[in-house]
Parts: sequence; C-alpha cells; structure tokens
Amino acid sequence: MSRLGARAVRKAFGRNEVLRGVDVDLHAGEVCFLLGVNGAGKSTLLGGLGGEVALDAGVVKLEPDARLVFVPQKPPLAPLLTPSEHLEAMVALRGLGAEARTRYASAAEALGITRFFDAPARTLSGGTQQKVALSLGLSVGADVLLLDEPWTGLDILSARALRRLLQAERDRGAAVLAASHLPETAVALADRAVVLAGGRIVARLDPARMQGFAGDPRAFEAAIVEAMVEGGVQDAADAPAPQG
Amino acid sequence: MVRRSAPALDAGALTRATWLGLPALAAGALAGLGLAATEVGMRPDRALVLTGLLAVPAPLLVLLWLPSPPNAPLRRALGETVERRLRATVRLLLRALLASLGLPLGIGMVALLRPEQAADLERFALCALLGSAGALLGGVATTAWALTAIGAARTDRFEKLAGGGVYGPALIAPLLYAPAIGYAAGMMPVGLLVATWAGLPEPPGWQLLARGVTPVLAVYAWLALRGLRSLQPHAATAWLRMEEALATPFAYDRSRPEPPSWLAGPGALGQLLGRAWVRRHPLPAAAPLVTALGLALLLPRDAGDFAFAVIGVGVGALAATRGAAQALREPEVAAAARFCGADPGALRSAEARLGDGLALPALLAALGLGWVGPVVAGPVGVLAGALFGRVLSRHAGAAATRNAGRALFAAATLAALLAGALPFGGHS
Repeated sequence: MSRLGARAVRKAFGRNEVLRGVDVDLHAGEVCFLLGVNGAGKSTLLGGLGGEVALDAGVVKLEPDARLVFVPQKPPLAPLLTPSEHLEAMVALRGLGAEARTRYASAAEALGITRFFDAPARTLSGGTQQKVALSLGLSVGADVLLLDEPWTGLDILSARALRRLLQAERDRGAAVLAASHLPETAVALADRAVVLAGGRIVARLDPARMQGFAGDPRAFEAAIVEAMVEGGVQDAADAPAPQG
Repeated sequence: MVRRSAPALDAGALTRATWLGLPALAAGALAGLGLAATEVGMRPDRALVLTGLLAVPAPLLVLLWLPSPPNAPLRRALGETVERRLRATVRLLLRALLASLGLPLGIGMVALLRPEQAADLERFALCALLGSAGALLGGVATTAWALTAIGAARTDRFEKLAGGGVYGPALIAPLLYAPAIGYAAGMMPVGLLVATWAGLPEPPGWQLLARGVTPVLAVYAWLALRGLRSLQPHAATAWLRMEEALATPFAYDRSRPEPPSWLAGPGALGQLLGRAWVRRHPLPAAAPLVTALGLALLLPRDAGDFAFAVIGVGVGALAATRGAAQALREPEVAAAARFCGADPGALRSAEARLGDGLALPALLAALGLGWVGPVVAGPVGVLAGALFGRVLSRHAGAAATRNAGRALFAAATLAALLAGALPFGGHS
C-alpha cells in the first residue's frame, strides 16, 4: 500500500487544462523525482496532493495518521515573523514534541541558517528563506514530504546538504516527492522518477531503470528529454540557432 | 565646499519645482478655504494648526532624502562623490523652497475670492510660508548635525535626547528625532507670529510681519548650510553606516511588539496572526485616524454633526476594512499559518476573532473624534462604519472589502471637505 496515492487527478485553470488524469503513488522509504518542462503542471500536482490546490476531479488518498508536509516553491513564511517564531507555531499547531526542535536545529545547522533564527523572514535572502522553509518542513518528521523545486536558490554546499538530509528522510522511512530540474541530483538521490508533460505522466522510471543511470546524469537527461518529446514537448535544442 | 559649489537652479530644476508647487498650491487653496470658513475669533488658532499640517511634508522629505537617498548603493557604485551628493541636497532644498511658495499663492487665490477676509488670509499665508520653509531648513540643519554625529561616532550627545532609542540601533537613533526637532524649531516663529496676531487688539500689518520673517528665514538658511558644511567631512562614513543599518533587521532587534491579548486571543494560531498583524500595523488605523483628526481640526465647528458623522463613517469603515481585508487575509500570513499546521476552519475562526478585536481602534477613533468636537454624530458614525466593514468583510472578498472601505473613506473625506468649505450650518 502506498503512503500517498492519487488517481485520475484533473485540474484546469479556466480553459487551460493543466492536469488531465494523473496517477501517482508514493511509497515509504523512497525518493521520487517529478520532472517536466516549465508549466507542465508539477507545482499544481504537488499543490493538489498537498491540499493547497483544489482539484477538479480525482482521488487523493493519504495513509491513515500519516503526517504530510508540503513545501511550496515560494517559501511559505510570514514576512514579519522570525524562523524561531515559525517553529514555535509549527510545534504548537502540529502538536510536535521536543524532537521537532532537534530535527529543526539539525537541518538548520546543515543548511547554515542558525544565525538567522531571530531575523524577520522578509529580511532574509530568497535562498535563505528557502532553507528556513525546508528546515521547518524537515522538523515535522513527516511521513510524506512534498517539495516543489527545493534546490532553487541554494548554493552548492547547501544543495549537497539538502541531498543528505533527504537521504536521511528516506532512510527514516519517509516518502519524498520532489519536483526538480537537476539531472545530477536526480541520479544521485532518486529511487524513481516520473515525467509530466501535457498534463499527463508520460514516463515512469522505476528503481531498476534509475540504477542504470548511476553516475551518468547525461544518459538520464537524454532519457527524460526523449520522454518529454514523446509526450508532445518541443525540444528547444532542435530549433534553428539565431543567425548573427 | 558646499557654499562654493551650490549651483543656481537651472531650467529643468525650475520646471520640477513648478510641478512640485502645484500640490502645494492646491493644499494652500484648500487651507485658505478652511480658514475663511472659520469664525474670526478662532482664526489664529486654526491658522497655527493648518500651518503645522502644511509643514509636515518638509521634514519627511528631509528624512527620506538626506540620510539615505533612493538608490544610494548604486549611486555610490557609480562614483557619486560626497560633494555631488551634498550639491544635490542643496538643489533639492532649493526646489522644495520654491515649491513651498505654492502655499501662500494658493491662500492668496482664496483671498482674491474673499476680499473681505484678505487681511487674515494674508497673515495666514505668511504663517504657511514661514512654517513650511522653517520646518524644511530646520529639518535639514538638525538632520545634518545628527548625520555628522553618526559619521563622527559621537552619538552620545544625542542619547539623552533620543531617550535610548528603543526602535532601531542606538547608532542611528538620533535620526529618528532630528527631523522632528527641526520641525518643532521651524514652528516656533509661527507660534510667536500667531500669538502676536491673536494677542494684539490691532494686529500689525503683514508688511511689518514680513520684515520680521525675512531675517528669521535667513537665520534658518544659515543654520541649514552650516549643518551641511559640518556634515561634509563625515558624510561618507555617516551614509555608509546608514546603509549598513538599514540593510539589517534593526527594527526588530530591540523592539518586538507582542500582540495585545484583546486582539490575538488565546492559542498558537491567534498569537501567530496577532503578532504578524501587530508588526505590520504598530499603530492600528493610525493613518486614517491622523487624517480624520486633521480634518476635524480643519473644519469649522458649526459645520457640526454632519461633517463629523461623515468623517466618522469613513474612518470607521477604513479601519475595519483595513483590518479585516488587508491585515487578516494577507496571503503570506495565511500560507505560513497553513504551513505551520493551522486547520482551515481554525484559521477562519482566528481571523474572525482578530477582526472583532479590531473594532477597538474604531472605538478609539470614535472617542478621539468625540473629544475633538462635542458632537455625538461622529462616534455613532464610526461605530456604524466599523459594523459595515465587519459585515462586508464576512460576506465579500478581501479585495472588494478593502476597495469599498477606501471608496467610502474617500467619499467621506470629500463630503467633509465640502462641508467645511461651503457655508454650512449658518456660519459666516
């Protein structure tokens, strides 16, 4: 049984049908990457699974008593509150124990944001806000983690630290679904990958296939591009170069 | 040196000053209408209040420009020298002084329409000119001295004056007070002028007063230029320190207002919403309250109940709708609350409770208006407005509620101004 399962999920914004019947399953102890071109519907799908976007049709099932955390692409921080205050609210509202503070401190230290604990969120850079949101999300000890472009704006060291943190989450038994465009990170971290194009899942790369890409992000990238093109996406690399 | 390098105003600067003078002209005309509609015995007092209101933009302009002008880091990166920036300040000062001439001109236009009140209006024009120019020059002088102290790291002399500076780092605390001190200093000659106007059975003619005003303004101009000259050797350091201070979250390091218990209510969610609201709005409904009090002072008393009622409705509606629509439903705060684990139902309840708590600012506005004028219509109007805002916020969208509040406030302001300007309620 999957931790989180979605069946025939549909969503349209006006006439723009973004999701046209998407099925996704997330299992305990795995990291799944969600790939697709800009506007493919990755954020909408994650928002729908996370309860932030009202879906038009379909079913989303979360394992009973499973704790879900969705960290959207735009860090969900109140501009005038500090990271510490967010943590206090999170601990109180989610009924978390002392271990949440430990997890938060550990993630914050790994991502290098401990000195910003008492600064209002609006005074932090975009990358730091992203790290704060990720640390808060990781503090919950969630069973299902939905992350929308978590590496965006992160420096090299922080990106590597986040990879380790997510590996630890997987080892703990969490199910992680992360939207990302980074082939190197996907090859190094993901157990599975799904490719979204034209509102549908056009490719599913299972663990055996992902194993085949080990150490070869270019091959992974080529496979993803091929899947996208088959899904109807035009490859910009095929377009004629502008004449100088 | 500043004196040597201060340039004459070129044609472009004159054009910009003219454009800046148009709002001053309009403000002067409105203030003149307000004074003309006032009882003769109350005119000196009202002239003082109006002059104070008309002079408020001057220290604000100084505070916005001199310590940290727009795009300061870019200007520095492009090689702007201290001398050039001080010259630009002097140019701005001259333009603002030129623009302030719009005030007496606007008042003079009213005098042409009301020749029987020309004598009082001319004295008022003199007050307005003296007040705005004095506040501007005084603000430049005190701000330049405060910056000098910051640049030279000699802020100790300001510490007693600043009272410890609870809002921001002690280093730049003097700046929060300097323009206000300059403003107060600029208003002092106006106070003397008004006292003379009110106290003498036969007030001196305005020509005589003008002869007294000129040397006063000359002294202020000398002080302003002296302040800028004293700043020159320390300016680069002072501005750099300002940039550093403004780039840090200084406003929260030493002052973290907690939400009042009547506003936030119990529970983590209430605390979260209340804290976010209090930090964004440290003075609930301050802007509409100040506007309303200014209008109430501006209006003739016998315009009476109607004017106070319309102001009250406007203030109440704006206070309530600002609270309900703008602060409570800020998307970032709601998103953060959900991310932290707030249940949507609990979020709605907490928002509603916070909105109910915001009725208090409206009640305070009512009491304030009741104090300003011995009428009951204002408080009743405020409460009606607050109720209207609450009902609207519950049933309409956030943006619609906010816009309705603004529209109502604008309509109420216009109605109140008309009530003050027109021969209302039998006053002369």
